[in-house]
Amino acid sequence: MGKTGTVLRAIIRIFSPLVSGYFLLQWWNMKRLVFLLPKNKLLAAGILIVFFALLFRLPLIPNPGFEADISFWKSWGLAAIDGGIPWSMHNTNNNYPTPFTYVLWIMARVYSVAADPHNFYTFWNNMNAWFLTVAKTPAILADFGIAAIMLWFGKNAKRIGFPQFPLWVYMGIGALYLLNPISVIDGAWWGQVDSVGVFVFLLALMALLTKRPFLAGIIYMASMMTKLQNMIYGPVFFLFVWQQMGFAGFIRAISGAVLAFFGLNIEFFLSRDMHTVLASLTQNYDYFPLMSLNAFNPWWIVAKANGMHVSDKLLTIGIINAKTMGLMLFSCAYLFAVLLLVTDTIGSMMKRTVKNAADTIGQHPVIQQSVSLFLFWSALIVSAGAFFLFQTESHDRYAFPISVFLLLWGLFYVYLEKPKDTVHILGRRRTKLFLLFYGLFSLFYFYNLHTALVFNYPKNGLPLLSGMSQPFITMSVAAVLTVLYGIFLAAIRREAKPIVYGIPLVVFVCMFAAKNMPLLTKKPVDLSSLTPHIAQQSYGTRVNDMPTNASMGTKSWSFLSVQYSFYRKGVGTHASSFIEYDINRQFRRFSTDMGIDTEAGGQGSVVFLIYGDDKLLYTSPKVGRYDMPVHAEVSVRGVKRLGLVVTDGGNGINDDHADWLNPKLWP
Amino acid sequence: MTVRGRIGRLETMKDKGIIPPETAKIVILTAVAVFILTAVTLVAYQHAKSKPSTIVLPGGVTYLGPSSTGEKPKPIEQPQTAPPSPLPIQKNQPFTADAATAWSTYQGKVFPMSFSYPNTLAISAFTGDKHEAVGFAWNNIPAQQNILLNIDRPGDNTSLSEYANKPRSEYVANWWRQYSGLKGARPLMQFTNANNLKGYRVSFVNLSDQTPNVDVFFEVPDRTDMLLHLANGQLDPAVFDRIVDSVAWEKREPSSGQ
Repeated sequence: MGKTGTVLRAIIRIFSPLVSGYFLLQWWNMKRLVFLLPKNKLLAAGILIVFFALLFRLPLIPNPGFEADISFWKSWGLAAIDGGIPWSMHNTNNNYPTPFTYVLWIMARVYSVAADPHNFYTFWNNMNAWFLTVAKTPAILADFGIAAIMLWFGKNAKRIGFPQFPLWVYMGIGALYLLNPISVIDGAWWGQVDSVGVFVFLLALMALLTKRPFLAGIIYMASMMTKLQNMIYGPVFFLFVWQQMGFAGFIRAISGAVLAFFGLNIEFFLSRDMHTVLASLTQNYDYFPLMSLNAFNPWWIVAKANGMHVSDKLLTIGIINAKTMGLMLFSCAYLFAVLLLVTDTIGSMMKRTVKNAADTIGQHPVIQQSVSLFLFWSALIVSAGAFFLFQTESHDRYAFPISVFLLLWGLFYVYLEKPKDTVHILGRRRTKLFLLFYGLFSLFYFYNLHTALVFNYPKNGLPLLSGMSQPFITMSVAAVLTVLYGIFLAAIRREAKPIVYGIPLVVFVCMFAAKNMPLLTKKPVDLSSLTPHIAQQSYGTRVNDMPTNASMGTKSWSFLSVQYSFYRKGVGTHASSFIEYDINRQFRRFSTDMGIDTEAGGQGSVVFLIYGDDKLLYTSPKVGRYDMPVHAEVSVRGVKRLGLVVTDGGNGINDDHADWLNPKLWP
Repeated sequence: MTVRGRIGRLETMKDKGIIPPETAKIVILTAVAVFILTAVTLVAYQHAKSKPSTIVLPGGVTYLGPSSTGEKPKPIEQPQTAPPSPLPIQKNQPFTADAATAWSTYQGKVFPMSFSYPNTLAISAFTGDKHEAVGFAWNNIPAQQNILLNIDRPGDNTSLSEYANKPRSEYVANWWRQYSGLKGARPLMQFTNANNLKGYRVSFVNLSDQTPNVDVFFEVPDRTDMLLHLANGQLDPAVFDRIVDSVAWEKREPSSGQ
């Protein structure tokens, strides 16, 4: 390689000045190059777009990007070619959907054509250029695939209900995507496959718009299995299928999705190992129980730019913790998205029942389809934006699909301003507004992605931008991205009926009140209904309403019991343990029973301690395996953090299955 | 030949009609683009190679390659049969004993109590248990969660401390209050068994308004600090009643368990 490298360096040194020198010489007379452009301006523009898209991407491939992700892919891909797909899932910490392992298998296979993946020092090197090329190629190809689909939408606009703008408009949005720093950093730089997920999702939409609901269902499931986050678009997508194809089409799409689910997991299905598939889809829940995983969203501001180090189990308002609050906000935003489509569907059904509906209402069916598609893209953006902004534990990359959806939404936004004029576009008010909006989103979201990369790998970012990661800048960007979401909601208000805004608002207020009802009615709160922000123990894991052995699986589930007294509520733990809850100064008294669970052996003996803001409030006597539960009541007035500690009683932790029984907080 | 020369030659070929004009342009453009992209990529690769590199291994427990012995990963072994259950697999039905089944007497290890039970009932005691609990495994419920008899000390029960010094009937009637899953009790039935022990028979009501168990509390002669507690949820009523009737307490000092 050394010799080859020397030769390559020599070639570059010779040719680089030649190339740059040639263009420098021609700089004063660029007209001489114009003769090179084909007469077909679209073709010329296409070539230039592809050229610049590649120019921005190819040099970034050797950048090691997000090194942890790349090394995980190496491990999981290597395991897949060494032991097979199911073996890989069982013998690695692969936490992606099972079918994605086939993609990793292909990566490792392709890599092994040119290099040995078992050569430890080459393979695991962070500058392994060949693996970086293999790993980043799918995302780069998907980028071009997305642009190609945009062109396809343009070429088939009339057939599928898209605005019949000139083709250059569609090529323009393709260029905006391909040359967008968001798409460049995510795939070619960072090394992620978000674009692959979006590309496959758009393929599903293509199938739907060409009236192939069964195929659409199959491809949608493939997109979900490529990028699990696509799961959130499922209800919107299938609702849209129903709207476009009726109930029969909906059933076909669902059938396709179910078939694809089993088809893509056929190896697991045949080996009766579907629990591994289900685990791969669910195991990431609460994987990083933190406010924000470098997503610059409102939680990033709440955590004071320290989202990766602040638990999302801290209480916000009343006794609602940040995670629950995030889920409530996301759910209501999602409900809003769904209602957008539902009201549109009901509205169009009602119009169809009116004779000569088009004449009566004055709305052409083509425009009706455009409104439906506009609302579909709106619903997707509302969902994706809420997923990124409102949920805690949100990843920095979760807003990536918006960079694509927004462009397609923009077509309809501009079109619906003057449906009859599909030629004069650039001068329109909405065009300018949209381009400004998209530019701002791209700028600030690119900053988010870049800064998140630099937080983890300071050497892998742009020199100047890498120095701009101060908390006040990142929090400002979080605020800007949130405001942009608000502006977007305002932009779609004309097509959304008041009820679409009203119902989610009412639902949110109801959920908020229900969650805080114990405080309002002064009823005690079961401690096990709260989630601690710290939970550590020396054996097993903490379990709510069951003893600690229940963490080993359903066969070990049982009721909490001490000396054969059974309890429905409580916390099962094991010495030495420390559990801390944020109770946010909302309660005045804490009562609990304590004891060694019946499941423990005879040696168990522990001491229970209760802390309030690090101040010791209670110490139990030494409690043994055959002792009855002891009871404690302590004042927690003004206490923010309630700490529950179990020590080993001085004889080691053998058999110390300790239970906090019927623990209650009294408002 | 210089780049200008190459382009000129292509132009000549185009003029002569050897190459269609548009195709020539595309070829030229593509060639120039490929040339530039290749050069830029090579520069980038060279630049990357000049940077310090390091080994980056994935976090957590995962696969890094075959073991040093060169053994390839083994295929997943499919379980041939379900793992053996620690307890005999039984359907959810009560334990019964026919008339021919022999009965034995269980003698307390800590307290001077005894009772009879069918030989087919696998009862278990627990070493070091000062409450002398006796359980049995049935319906896949382990013995420690299926207690037949134990000593109940009202004074030890902090949840019921207000009833500790009340009449035993009142203590038994309120015994359910220590459990969040219970909400009341059916009326007590006082009785005396064959060994002249005074007892209370009661059913506690759970949150689903069910009374799945029968509980029996015996007063202990000369010991006001304890009760003998029997509970039944898994035995045939006839078997349980016979056990209840057989419970006895010898009037001697306990060996320990104070």
